[in-house]
Amino acid sequence: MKALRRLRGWLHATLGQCVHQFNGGAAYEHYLAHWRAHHPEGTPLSADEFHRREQDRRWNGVRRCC
Amino acid sequence: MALQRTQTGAGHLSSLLWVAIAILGASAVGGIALSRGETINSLWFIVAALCVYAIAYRFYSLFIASKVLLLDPTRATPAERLSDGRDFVPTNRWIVFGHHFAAIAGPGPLIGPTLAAQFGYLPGTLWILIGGVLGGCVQDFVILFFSIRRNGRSLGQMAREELGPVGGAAATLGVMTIMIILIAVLGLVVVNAMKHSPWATSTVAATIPIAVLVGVYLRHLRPGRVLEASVLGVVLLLLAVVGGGYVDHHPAWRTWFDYDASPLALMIIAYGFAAAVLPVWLLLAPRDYLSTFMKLGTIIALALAIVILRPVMHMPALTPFIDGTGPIFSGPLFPFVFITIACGAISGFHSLISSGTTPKLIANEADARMIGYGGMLMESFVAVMAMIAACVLEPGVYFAINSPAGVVGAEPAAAVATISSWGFPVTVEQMSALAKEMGESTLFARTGGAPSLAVGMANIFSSLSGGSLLALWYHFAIMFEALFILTTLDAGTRVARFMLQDMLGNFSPRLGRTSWYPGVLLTSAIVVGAWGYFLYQGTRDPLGGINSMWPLFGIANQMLAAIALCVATSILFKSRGPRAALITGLPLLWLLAVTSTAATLKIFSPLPRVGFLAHAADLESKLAAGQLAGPLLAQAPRLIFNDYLNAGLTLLFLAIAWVVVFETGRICLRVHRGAHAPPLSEVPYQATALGR
Repeated sequence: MKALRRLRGWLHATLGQCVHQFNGGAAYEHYLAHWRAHHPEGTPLSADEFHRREQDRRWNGVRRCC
Repeated sequence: MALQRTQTGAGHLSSLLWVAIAILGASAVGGIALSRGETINSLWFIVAALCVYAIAYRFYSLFIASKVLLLDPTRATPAERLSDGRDFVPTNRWIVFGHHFAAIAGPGPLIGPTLAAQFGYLPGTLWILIGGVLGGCVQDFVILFFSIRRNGRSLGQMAREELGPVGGAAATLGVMTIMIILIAVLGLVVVNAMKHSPWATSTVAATIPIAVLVGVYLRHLRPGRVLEASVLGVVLLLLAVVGGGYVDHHPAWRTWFDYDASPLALMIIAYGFAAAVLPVWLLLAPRDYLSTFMKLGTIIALALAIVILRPVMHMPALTPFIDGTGPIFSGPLFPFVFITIACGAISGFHSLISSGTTPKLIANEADARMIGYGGMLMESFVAVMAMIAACVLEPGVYFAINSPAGVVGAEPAAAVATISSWGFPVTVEQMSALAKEMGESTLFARTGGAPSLAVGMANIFSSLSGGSLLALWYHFAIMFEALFILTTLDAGTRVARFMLQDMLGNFSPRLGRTSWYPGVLLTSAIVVGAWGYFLYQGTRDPLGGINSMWPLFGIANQMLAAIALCVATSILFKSRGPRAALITGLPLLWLLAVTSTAATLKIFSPLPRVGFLAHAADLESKLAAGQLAGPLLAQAPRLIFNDYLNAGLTLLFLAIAWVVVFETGRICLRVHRGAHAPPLSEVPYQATALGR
């Protein structure tokens, strides 16, 4: 029983991580961490603003192949 | 990172395991090569592929990593040193693997093997396996590593630094021209799948508003929630596939989506222009997410289905067409099978991705082995699966779908008579029944590889659902391919437009600014006009367009691979010496032999089916003698012009490749003699602060 609960906990954590990661969470966290480390003053972008800017920026250069 | 040989029990067990894998792999390859029965089970191919990949990764990639490139896990990567939270971000290796594989996996490994099945299953499969592990994987891995050591610089920049301005210019010109041909060819593949098919056309048309909806969702409603938006999009896409069925059966609605190839080409051209000039978040980005998820999901599903169901392959090991008289594309086995399968074995385009965003995400140099070499291994596996899906069809059916009307005859009765006379029996009733099962009016002359792949995939998938729902599976497969072909089309147009703006910016600074809208419109129009021309001409070519354009694409792609290998060879020669340079030098020599022979044949062969100039001369003499009639008479001047254009392009590719090779040889010779040559441009060592 305990093993089952632990498995469920692990699955929840891992899948939750995956969902969070693919839902753009990790990218924003990286940005916040970088901002706090390098720009002590000033306000970082909100999550929504950050993702909008990222989309515009990401489509330079070769992205997709044949 | 030396190879460690322990004397423990675990070490001996590991050696035994690898010997067993080697024996298993050799037996599987031997079984495939020597089997002369009526049919062979696809399981042989899966086992052979997996064993070859396992051995290549465990031994060859480790050798390259530890003895040639000298990967240093204690060294800080640019992701760590230049970390800016945007482009340079040290990322978990599995995430980077996913991004990299999604970027390199395009429609190429699905189409190339399907076309190459014309020669039988054996030549294509051997090239996918051998060319992949010795050529493509090495190229991707080595270019990725060198880019990491140069702060993520692109292939064009590395070419300029290592080979001088000539090399850099050649690489840039090569990339732009490949892009144009690639987009035109892929557009042709989609058009051939959609022509006179209301189901396919309505489904593909529906992907546009679905992408816009997902785009708005990601931009305004819930920014950044990629997973949610993709789930929404996938559900809508599946509904679109089902909805297409309703449209097909509705007598009035189906007329709205029933078009010939040429009008469809014009619609695709219009779509391509719109996608290139509209904001990226509206169409491009959502399409990209959707196609990535669908691609990964479908590939995994196909792999599982093949492993579980183990379908039987009906195509023989070799067909008579190795002599060069094939209907799908002309030309003998050497060099054309190596040109036709580019992306599944070695593809120059991948070197652009390997020197694009991927090197800026890598947290530790040791990851490059898994991502560069391993990513291409997976792509090679996708190509093997495409070969399997093409070969599970009856050969007669395969040729009936993929042969252009200009070769076998426009009427079904004529087509089956021609194909049966080749030794591949097929009947009109068989094809009509198959078309009906797939929800199409006809499957004849649906060239380009996508429809026959879809038929193969539908057969495999439908075994899971008990033999029913064939039409749904077929149109799902068509939608899946069209989705990421059109994404490549949008993205490629945009990249080509950026490069053109970059080049023109040297003469007129206003055009170079990507924010100046009139400049955007003009350059997009030029790029779309260029590929649109080839696409439109392809739809009016009696030989189906794929016949002449796919070899052109293959030659161009492998010319770019030759350039990438030249850059890598020169770096290795300078930094590790001539013997190390062999790991890229030998594949380079092979590629040069193959592309030069193919290009020479395509330009100068006296056979009108093979050589562009011979084909033009043949048409010209027939025109002068008044032997042409009907539509061919009207089209002849345009066809003759296209032949000269194609011959000119092929000559250009050949010239570019040899110029770069010449420069490389010159530099290597100077290094060998101890004379001055452009120095290595690696970034100095800095120890990493990240844990492993």
